[in-house]
Amino acid sequence: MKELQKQLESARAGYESLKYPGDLGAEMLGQVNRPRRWIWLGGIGALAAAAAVTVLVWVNSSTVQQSTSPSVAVNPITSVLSSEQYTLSAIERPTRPEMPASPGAFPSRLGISRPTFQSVPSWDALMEQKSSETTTQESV
Amino acid sequence: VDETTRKAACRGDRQAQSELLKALQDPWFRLCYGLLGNAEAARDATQESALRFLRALPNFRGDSQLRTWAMGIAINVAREMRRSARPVDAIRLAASAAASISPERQAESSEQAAMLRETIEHLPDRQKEAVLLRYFEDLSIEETAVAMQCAEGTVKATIHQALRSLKEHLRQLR
Repeated sequence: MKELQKQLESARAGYESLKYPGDLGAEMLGQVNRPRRWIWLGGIGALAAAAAVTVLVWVNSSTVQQSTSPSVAVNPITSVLSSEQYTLSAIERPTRPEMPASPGAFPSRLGISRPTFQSVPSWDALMEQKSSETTTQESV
Repeated sequence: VDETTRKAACRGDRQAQSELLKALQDPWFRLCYGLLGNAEAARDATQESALRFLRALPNFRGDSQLRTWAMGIAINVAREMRRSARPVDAIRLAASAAASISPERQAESSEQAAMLRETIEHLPDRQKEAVLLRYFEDLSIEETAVAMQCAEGTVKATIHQALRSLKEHLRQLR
């Protein structure tokens, strides 16, 4: 029995010499709070991703619009006279041409008129004209 | 750990919870080491016990001592880990046991840890639990029963069988 007691005592000494390597409180309390932090980080990440997608879509749509619309000269166009007098910036939109006062391509409604036809001669007039022609030939 | 700290920890006071974990980290680690025989596994089991302890702390009713209840959590974790345990390499075991303690006491402690393993490693799991809690953690029969979640009579019988087995083991060594 004494030997068993001795064995148990030395085993207990070994048992008590064991220590947890580290600070469990610091390790675990950080881990317990981690899910809440992940929720925050996840939310921020989702918002950032949504913003990035919005910007991408916006940029793509504006690029498509630019490619379909008539191209604008990138370089500034300078006039022959002098650059100070007349310079078009690449950013400037070309001014819309004003409509002419009287359009030539499409005549106004009032200007449209029906073509005039010659009057058709009557049967008697034609016969008379024919008989006169034959008398002229006979006389010749 | 006093009652005020315990109540504060139950309410979610992080300082109090940290104090509780500091008081429990070594007993948990020793118990898990004794049950699992591996410092690495014991460390994992200690961390898992702490996590479960913190989650269950607000529901602690105070029917038993906090330490006894905490030991019960560690026993459950160790049982679960044993069920899914791989065969442990003896050399890796010794190395991890030596790494888990301070270098100045390493030589002495590795001998003592070897002695601990030699003493209890041949015992069946239930007997190991009973001996560790009763003789090494100084829990009463009642507290050991609470931690092991069994009747006091079962604890007495298990300890009796364990001591008989240890005696037999020593006799064979001579």
